[in-house]
Amino acid sequence: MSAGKALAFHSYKGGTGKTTIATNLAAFYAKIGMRVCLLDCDLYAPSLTTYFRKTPESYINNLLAGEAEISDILVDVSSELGLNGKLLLGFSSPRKVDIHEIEIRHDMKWQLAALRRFLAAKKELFSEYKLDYVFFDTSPGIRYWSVNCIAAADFLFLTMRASDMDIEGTKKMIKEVYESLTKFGSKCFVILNKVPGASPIKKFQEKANERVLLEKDIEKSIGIKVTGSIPCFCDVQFNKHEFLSAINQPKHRFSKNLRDIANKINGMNQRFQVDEE
Amino acid sequence: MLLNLGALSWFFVFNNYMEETFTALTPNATDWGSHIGNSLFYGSIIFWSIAISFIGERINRRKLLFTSIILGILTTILLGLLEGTFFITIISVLMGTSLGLGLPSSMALVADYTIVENRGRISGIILLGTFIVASVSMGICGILELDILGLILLLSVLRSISIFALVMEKFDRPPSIGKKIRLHLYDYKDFFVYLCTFLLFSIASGLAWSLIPDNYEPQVAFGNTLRFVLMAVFGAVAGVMADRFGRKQPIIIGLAALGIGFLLGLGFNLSGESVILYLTLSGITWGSFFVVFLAVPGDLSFPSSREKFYAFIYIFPLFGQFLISIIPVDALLRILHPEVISQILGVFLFLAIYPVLRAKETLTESKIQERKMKEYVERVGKVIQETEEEK
Repeated sequence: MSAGKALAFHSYKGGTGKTTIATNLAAFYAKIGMRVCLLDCDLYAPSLTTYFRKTPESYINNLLAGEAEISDILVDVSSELGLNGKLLLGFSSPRKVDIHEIEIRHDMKWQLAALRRFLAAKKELFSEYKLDYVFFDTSPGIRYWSVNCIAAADFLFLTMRASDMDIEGTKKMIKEVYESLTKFGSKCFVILNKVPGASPIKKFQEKANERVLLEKDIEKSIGIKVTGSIPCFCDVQFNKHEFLSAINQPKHRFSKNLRDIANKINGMNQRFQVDEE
Repeated sequence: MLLNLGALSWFFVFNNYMEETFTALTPNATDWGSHIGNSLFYGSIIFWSIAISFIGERINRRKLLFTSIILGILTTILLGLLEGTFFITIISVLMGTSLGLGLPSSMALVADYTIVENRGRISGIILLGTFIVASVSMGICGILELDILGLILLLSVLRSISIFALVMEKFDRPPSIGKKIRLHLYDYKDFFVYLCTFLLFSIASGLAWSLIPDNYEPQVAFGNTLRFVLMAVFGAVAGVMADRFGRKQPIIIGLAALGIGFLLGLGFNLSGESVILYLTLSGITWGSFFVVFLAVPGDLSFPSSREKFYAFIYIFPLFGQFLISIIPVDALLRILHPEVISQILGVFLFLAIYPVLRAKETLTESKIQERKMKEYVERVGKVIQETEEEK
């Protein structure tokens, strides 16, 4: 089996930039020749169908219900995007009725059965598709499918802003969810997004050590290592259709920051693999 | 827990044998035991409970509890040493006073030491302990055929349980007590809705006794012990339910059990077995109700108003007992045909449902959801562990 890893991107609140970071990181890895799969696990508010403008035949919802195999739901966008590696996408259904089913109709028993199917699919992704990374773009907060993704991930990235609300909420989640689930071997890190300091006005721009201090401060406050931080870039943040900036605008500072994070993740992965061996 | 266990188990056991105790200790006054002694005992509990709920805030809680327990132990012991109408009159008042002084604070402590998520279970554990101790005590009385002195010795031991709580804890008032919180009528509204249910239920439950003729005394004695056992068990079950599904669920189940009890036990074909069946089912109801009414005042009150809320909850059934002891309600009701009483009971039971429907669920949906997710996280952990082991 490939030594690939599952990465989940989660947050306490919505709007922290999970999807932007997950899609760009996935595309970046695929661009540099790695084999990657990105699954839209935000079953309560799916966004990848809009982001990639795709309408697949089968969704993750069908996989979870036992109506489809993992191979049925994957869409390969590698050649379309001119990537050197592989980027497979798994979408969740944006249809109201499907969201309603996941959210309200299904009970705990069903969710656990669906989790088992999801774990089997993850196993298959690594063994059959020889993937380096599987990305779970999760829903925010503590809900069935954010919990499931956190549990299924090898690396969990908490995407958060450096606001009090996010910090307090993240602390609560660490206590209530992460501590229970990370004891099974997954590793937890923070990615700070939309941090101040990307202003076009020079005097508002960050100084060299300001972000390092912020990262240290957050690490101290919530007790989890910060993998990296990305400033708030208005042209990325408020773009009507931000689309894979990391590969389409490689010179942008956002892309540079993202590449740093990608390299850190790769480095961490290799280090952990050596440790495991 | 010990504080409430000592006070409540003492009360329930004493309440069960009060009439015969007072009658035995006042041989010259035949009506004294069954009427005046009871009414003085209940009356003083009610009076002091109301008084303490208003002024208790200004009194050192530890000293108040200490006084209540010591007075309780001493008066129970004195019951064995003195006899005659004069002494027993004073002792019955002092016994009631001891309970009235301590009960609102003891119950308020349950709320002070718990949070909304575990208040039901803690209340359930208190009732489990209380009714196990009470039923074992009643069992001992029955099996060993204890005389009055034996009973008084047993009651003194029960009342002394509370003293251990004072040795173990300081029982200071929570710091927020310093901040005077003014309650408006609206704040009491939700509480009064719950109170209405309890009131209607108390009336229905009280009326049901008049359907049981005196010749079923052995069955009532046995059924009462069984009832206490079921109150213990269902108190604990209802506590778990109250924290899991909300406070209203145990009330609804309790009312349904009482309805079935009325129908199968007292509704038709009254027999020894049906009386026992009714008492058994009423044990389920009382267990469920007690837990909820130990948890709900804590959910709805502020530390400064807790004693008032708790005092109001338990004085209603006590007031019913007080009325029964001064007015011959049983005799009046027996003028009516049992079927009429049955129908009146049915109406009260039916009416009791309405306030439950209107009542605010004090265990909020978000808390229920939070608990559900905690449970789910644990289950997910197990699934992951199984998957890891398969690897």
